[in-house]
Amino acid sequence: MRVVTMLHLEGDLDEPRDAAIRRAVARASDEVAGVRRSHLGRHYPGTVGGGEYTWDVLFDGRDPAALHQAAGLEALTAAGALRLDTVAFEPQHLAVPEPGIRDCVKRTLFLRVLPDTPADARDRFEHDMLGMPRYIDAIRNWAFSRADPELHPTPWTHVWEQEYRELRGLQVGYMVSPYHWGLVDGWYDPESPQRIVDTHLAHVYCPAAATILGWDA
Amino acid sequence: MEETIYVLDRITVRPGRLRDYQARLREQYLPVARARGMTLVGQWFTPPVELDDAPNELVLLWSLPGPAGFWAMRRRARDPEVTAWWAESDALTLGRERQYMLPGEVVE
Repeated sequence: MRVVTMLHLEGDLDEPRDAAIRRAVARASDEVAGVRRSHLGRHYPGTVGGGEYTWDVLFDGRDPAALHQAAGLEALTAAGALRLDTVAFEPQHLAVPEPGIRDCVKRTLFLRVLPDTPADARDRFEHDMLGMPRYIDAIRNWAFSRADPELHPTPWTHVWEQEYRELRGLQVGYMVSPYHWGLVDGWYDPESPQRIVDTHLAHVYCPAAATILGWDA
Repeated sequence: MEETIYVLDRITVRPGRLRDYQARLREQYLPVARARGMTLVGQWFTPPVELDDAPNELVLLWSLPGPAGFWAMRRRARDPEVTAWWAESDALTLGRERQYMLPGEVVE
């Protein structure tokens, strides 16, 4: 399964604290049974609602909560200095046409489809989301998944992940696409009668030396 | 120069409320929309008489200065004035749609 965690910190993030977080996550990745791959990315400025880091894990274990209970991380969360927002899911819709991508940008969006949304509206939303890579060239690798609260409890319903060759791909190519602003955004826009997605989102992006979405490809 | 984006609103107004709806739109939403970079290109209603026993459809056409203008408008979609307007609008209407358009023929 994939386990994606956003790390929210209380207070300032200076270099010693950054190093402590990185050590704790590295130790958890080493010590928790079932971690096949792990990547911690510190978010670029401009991200919204997702804290300071994204921690991606390819996990063969049974319970993602084991990652939270790793000694170094538990010490930080117990002290209230750190909050972990975790989503787990089995890979569903995934395409990695550029597995050799290097020094890329990994973008993650956690979103929640509002309760009581009719199933047909949710299906049309998912259909439109899945069309984005066909219409937006800047998206190189991608995955769109329903969160599985049976694997780990979460209020989020979906995870939308992409890899770009450069920041410009996300900040320009993705944003100027008519497919994005003219078709998909209506599902998110609180002013649109079509909207079904909660306005509270976690929209983050971080550097990655190589593909994360292609780990299991 | 970025291509103009057009926003098409089609609003089904309750019987006998069209005149009231248009007045409120002019007084409440139009200033807010203008402040967010939206220009009202025009508005039309059909059937072309305010009905008292059936809905009227009101069509609004707005323009935005390209994708940058679109996202600038979107960043303020949660402004309290916007939320309040659509709540008030919903009380006077039976439904609505919003669609985005580009002019002309498809180009690569």
